[in-house]
Amino acid sequence: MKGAGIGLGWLAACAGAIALAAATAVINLESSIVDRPVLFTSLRLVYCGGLVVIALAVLARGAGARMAGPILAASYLLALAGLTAVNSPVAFTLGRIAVQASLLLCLYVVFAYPSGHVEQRGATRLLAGSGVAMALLLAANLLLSDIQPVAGPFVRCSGSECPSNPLNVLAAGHGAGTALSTALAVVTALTLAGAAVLVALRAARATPLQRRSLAPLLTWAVLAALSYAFFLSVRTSDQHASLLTPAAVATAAIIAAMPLAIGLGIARGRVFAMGALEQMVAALGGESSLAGLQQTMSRAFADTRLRLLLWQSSDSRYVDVDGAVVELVAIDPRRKITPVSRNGDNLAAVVHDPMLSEHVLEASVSAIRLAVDNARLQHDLTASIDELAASRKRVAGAADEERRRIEQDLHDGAQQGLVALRIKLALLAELAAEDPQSIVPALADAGERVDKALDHIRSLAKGIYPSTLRDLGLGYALGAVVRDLPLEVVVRTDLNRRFPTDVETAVYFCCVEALQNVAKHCGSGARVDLQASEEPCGLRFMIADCGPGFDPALKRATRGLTGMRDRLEAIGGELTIRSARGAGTTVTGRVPASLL
Amino acid sequence: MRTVDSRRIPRNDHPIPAQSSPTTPVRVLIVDDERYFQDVVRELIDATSGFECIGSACSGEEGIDEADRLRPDLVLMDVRMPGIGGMEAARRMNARGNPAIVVLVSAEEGLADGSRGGASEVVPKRKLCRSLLRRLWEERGQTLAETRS
Repeated sequence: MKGAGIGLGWLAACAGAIALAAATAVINLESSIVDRPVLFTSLRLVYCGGLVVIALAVLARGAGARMAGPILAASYLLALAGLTAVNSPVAFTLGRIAVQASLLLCLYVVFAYPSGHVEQRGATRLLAGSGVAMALLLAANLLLSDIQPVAGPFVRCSGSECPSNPLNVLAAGHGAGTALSTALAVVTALTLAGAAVLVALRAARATPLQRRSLAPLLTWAVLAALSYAFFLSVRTSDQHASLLTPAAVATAAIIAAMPLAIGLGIARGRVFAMGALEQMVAALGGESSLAGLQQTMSRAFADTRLRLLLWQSSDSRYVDVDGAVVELVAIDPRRKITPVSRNGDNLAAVVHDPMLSEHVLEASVSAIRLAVDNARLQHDLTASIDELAASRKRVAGAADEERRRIEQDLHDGAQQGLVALRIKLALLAELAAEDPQSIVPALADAGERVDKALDHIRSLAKGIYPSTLRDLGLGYALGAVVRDLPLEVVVRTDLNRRFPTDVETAVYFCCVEALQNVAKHCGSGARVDLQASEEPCGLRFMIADCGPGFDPALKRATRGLTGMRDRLEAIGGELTIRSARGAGTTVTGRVPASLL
Repeated sequence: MRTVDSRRIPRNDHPIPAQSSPTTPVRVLIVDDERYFQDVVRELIDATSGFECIGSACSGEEGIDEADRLRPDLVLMDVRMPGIGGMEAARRMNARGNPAIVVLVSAEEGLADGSRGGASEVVPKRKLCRSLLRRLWEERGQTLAETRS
């Protein structure tokens, strides 16, 4: 979020506006053509000063030139409008023009509040149309009439009471001058009325936060339009009516209250936002998800279109709370986007009502950061739980598969052999009674069959859990298993002690699986390096071959590789497989020292 | 666990094999995927007078083809083999009208009677002996011979 700061240039401009207002105030106080000079001069000073204060407040919020510029310009024009107190044709005329220009600029400020640009098309047309009409009428009046046009409530002189018109080039007569002057006043009244309608329409379509800020301005616009219309009607009907002065004072006071209306709007907006922030913080106590946070913020700030976007650094884009990709360029330009970062890294973004100040939003940033972290942790936890469940399923499946394999092995090997032997021995027993000598070779054969059955059972047991591993440990077992493999294995082990049974078992069978894979894919006689050692960080093993290798990005993990990873991760270890086409495969496993 | 009663009267209604008679040996086909078991049973059959081993097969499918070709009197078929297995092979032999008496042999004990498919009987392998062979033929072959006569 950007910090607020007021540059020296702005401060100088504000000071200049105050100085000009003060100078023209002095002129007003000494003027002979201004009725009630103290009252109206005070009102004009309040008006100018109020606009300067609003400009400073806007600059302090970091809004910049877009809003502060027109406000300050209006204060300068208002100050210049004070020249209508000077009994000099040129100065008075300048002041008269400044009166009309300041009115238009003040209305521009009303329509552009708070973003600094006019969003309503109707407002742009009103300002343009009124500006053209006022300019034409004023110009015609000045060129055609020898008297100045009827002034507003701040300037009490009219007609021949005012200084003469230095721009009069054609003597069109009093009637034409009066008509043009009246037309100008009517255009002014209609412009004020139009402004009130447009502000009302804008408030009707606004968000609750915007409506709170616009309410004082709407009130001002309506009162200004009504009071000016009343003043105009009183003035037009009877210039000396007793109501004229009160109407003029009331109208002048209301118009001068425009800065107050803007200030109230800003204050109401901030009070609402602070209250909303308080609500949000209270509601956030039990909220840890992004979706929940978005809903809480949306409710607290009464901004139903508020959105939280999460930054995905993996593919450098934003996603919403449902995971859908969001392009910032596609967001409604009337909404404001405030990024949330941590240590310079993008974390999230908030799409919100532009009326919501950055200061208020900044207070939500901590909550947003926490929710983002929680969301990430939750996602990682869910992924870990899913992987754990899948891994347990795989382990259970592998155990069942192993049991089936053992049963099949026993049935096809040892059991069949022993059953056949049983039949043979029964037959030999019967034949022994008939011809004892004939059974001698058969008995020798039966003995060999028993040996074969024993070998089969021994081999099966070795596959289930080798006795060398159980009795002598991992180092000896690895050395023994490679002797039975059709591979050229260079074994380098530096394991000088026993490790926990689950660690030895997991590492042993991982190595066996890896070696069997080498035999399967590289063929008999392939050269393999097997290393196993205990290091300060833990137990490390590596099986490296020079076989065909594979592309891990393209090849799905086989059951064997998955089984190895599951085995090692089940005891807290980790497995790494590096391979590339034509560059062999290296399987590396680690078990942390804390588990040994 | 229910034990197999090898002396139950079978439900085999096939016609009498044409080659069988009181003087010609009973022609036996062995169907088993274990080579050693085939060798041992062949020895057993050869050592049993009145019986002769005419061939062997290593699978149910091969057994069906050999049975069609050799027209044995008796088929000793393993239950558990790769492919269709003994029970399905027995059922198919039956369905093809093969007159041979099919006896399923199994390394498992306690196979239910209802699981014999088209076979006459289920016998544990370890009980195979000369007297069992004679008893099997005498109960089924003799019965069929009586029916024939």
